[in-house]
Amino acid sequence: MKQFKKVPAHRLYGTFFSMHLRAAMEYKSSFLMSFFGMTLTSLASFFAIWLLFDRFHTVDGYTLSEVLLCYSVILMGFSVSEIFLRGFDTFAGQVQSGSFDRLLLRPRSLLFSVLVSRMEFARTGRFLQGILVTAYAVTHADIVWTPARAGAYLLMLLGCCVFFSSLLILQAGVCFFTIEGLEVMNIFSHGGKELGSYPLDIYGSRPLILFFTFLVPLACAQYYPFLYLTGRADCGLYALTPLWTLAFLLVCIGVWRIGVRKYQSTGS
Amino acid sequence: MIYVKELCKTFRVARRDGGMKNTLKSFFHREYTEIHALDHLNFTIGEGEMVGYIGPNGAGKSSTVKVLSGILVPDSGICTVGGRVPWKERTAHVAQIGVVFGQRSQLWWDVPVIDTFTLLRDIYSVPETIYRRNLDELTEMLGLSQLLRTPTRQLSLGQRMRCEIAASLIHDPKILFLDEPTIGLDAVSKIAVRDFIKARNRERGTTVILTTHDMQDIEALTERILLIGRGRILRDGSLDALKREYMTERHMTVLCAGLDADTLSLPAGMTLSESHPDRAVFSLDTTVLPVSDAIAAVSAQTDIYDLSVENPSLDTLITHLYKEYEVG
Repeated sequence: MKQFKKVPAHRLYGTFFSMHLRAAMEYKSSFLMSFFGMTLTSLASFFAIWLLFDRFHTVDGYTLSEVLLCYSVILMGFSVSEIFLRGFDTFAGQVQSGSFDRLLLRPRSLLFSVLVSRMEFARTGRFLQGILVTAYAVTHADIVWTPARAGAYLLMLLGCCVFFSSLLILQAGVCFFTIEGLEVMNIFSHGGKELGSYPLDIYGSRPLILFFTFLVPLACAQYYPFLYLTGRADCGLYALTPLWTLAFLLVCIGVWRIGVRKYQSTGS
Repeated sequence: MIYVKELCKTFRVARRDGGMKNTLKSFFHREYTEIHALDHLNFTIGEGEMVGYIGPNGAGKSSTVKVLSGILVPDSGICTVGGRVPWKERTAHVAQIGVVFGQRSQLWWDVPVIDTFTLLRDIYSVPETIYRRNLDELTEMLGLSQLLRTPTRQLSLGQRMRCEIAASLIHDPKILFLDEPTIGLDAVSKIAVRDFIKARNRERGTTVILTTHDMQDIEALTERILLIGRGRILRDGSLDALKREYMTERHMTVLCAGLDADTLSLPAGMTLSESHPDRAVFSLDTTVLPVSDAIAAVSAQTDIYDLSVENPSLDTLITHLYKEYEVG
């Protein structure tokens, strides 16, 4: 049998992207409504921070723009994973409805097939807000921007995207073992988003920071590079901690792979 | 093409009795029952064959199709499709097969059908020239020209199924699995789908494996039947041989001047099953009594105005088979 030249994954991703976009545009009013709804709800947590600082000016030594810097990377990471990894987010449903079986019938890597199976453009409201907050925080924070610090900030963004994406993949992997999606996972994703709105030491809990460093490496993507960024830590290693989230990603993909193997051998 | 030997698959199913107490109990300790979905399954299917895979619900039909298509990994046994072990070389394998699940669409709900097709072209890396050729051919044979620009959600069930079948053939698969392809379709669509499958098998030599409960599908499409029950192949043979063996009963309806049920004398292998003043229905066992003898016996005793002889339906035959093998 002749082998055709394989369409490269990035091109196929582009095709899927435009398909999802067109499908979303079929329901314009629904799209706009959920877009604005999304924007409004995420604005609420922004105002919560803003009001707090309007009253107290600093919290635990951090200024508003510093906290917003934290908030912005978390927001960006969360919304990017939410838009582009929707397939993993809704994975339990896909397994139950059997549409995962269809993905197994495609001559593509499974991770890729699940990745492109859903994209949620209505969630771009949060993403847009992320960009606005980022723009504000970057220009208003008392940070002397150097190339190294700019790099650290970009790494923070990358780390947060990887972190929240890893959580969604983990959540998808876990549902092979439980069939139902586990709400417990939301503690880390949504909980991580809320906690991560502030520098993690604000909560004054050492176990919390240790937990979010070694088990669920949120602090690596947010807290440590943040210390470097604001000049509270000088060691360059602090800026590189977001890369640790890549290891977390590999672990989560590993769990997912084990889950797939179990699914194929039990069929449930 | 397809080679299956001693294939086994066992599922563990959690069992509990109803009621709150048992629900709580099962939360801590679960009892499992083992279900042998595939129990030493053996068969081979040659290239270009068209096979009907039948059996009652829960017999192991969909488990077999899942193993053959690489979705499910069996516990033991050998299974090769086109020389490959499906679940070991999944991506290479699935590029060679097409699967139509009657109940599970692969068309995108909100975009025109043609968009799904171009997407599938890229997923399967079909070169543009081959894609064009296949698309033109499928469009013509399945009458899709009016449907391609319509979003899937606006298609009728029959139209959708035609598009669904086309979608699974865009990449020229060597083997086509059809799972209940005519379920819920009206008569016209059913016939269109059947004619197409037949033509595809004849002209392209596509191997077709059809699972269905629709006996008309089987009758119209397949020469060979695999009957599965409790995870085993119970019967593997031609439909004609089955008919000769099992469809030995005929119903003969006679319109006549009048029959007296009490004085009627009938030869062996013939019984009166219904009697009306001017009409009678007999059932005949053709292994004992040829139809011509039965007609002669009746016409000797009364004047026949009209007469018809009917085969029992294929459904009856299958029910009979299930009963004989104690499945279903």
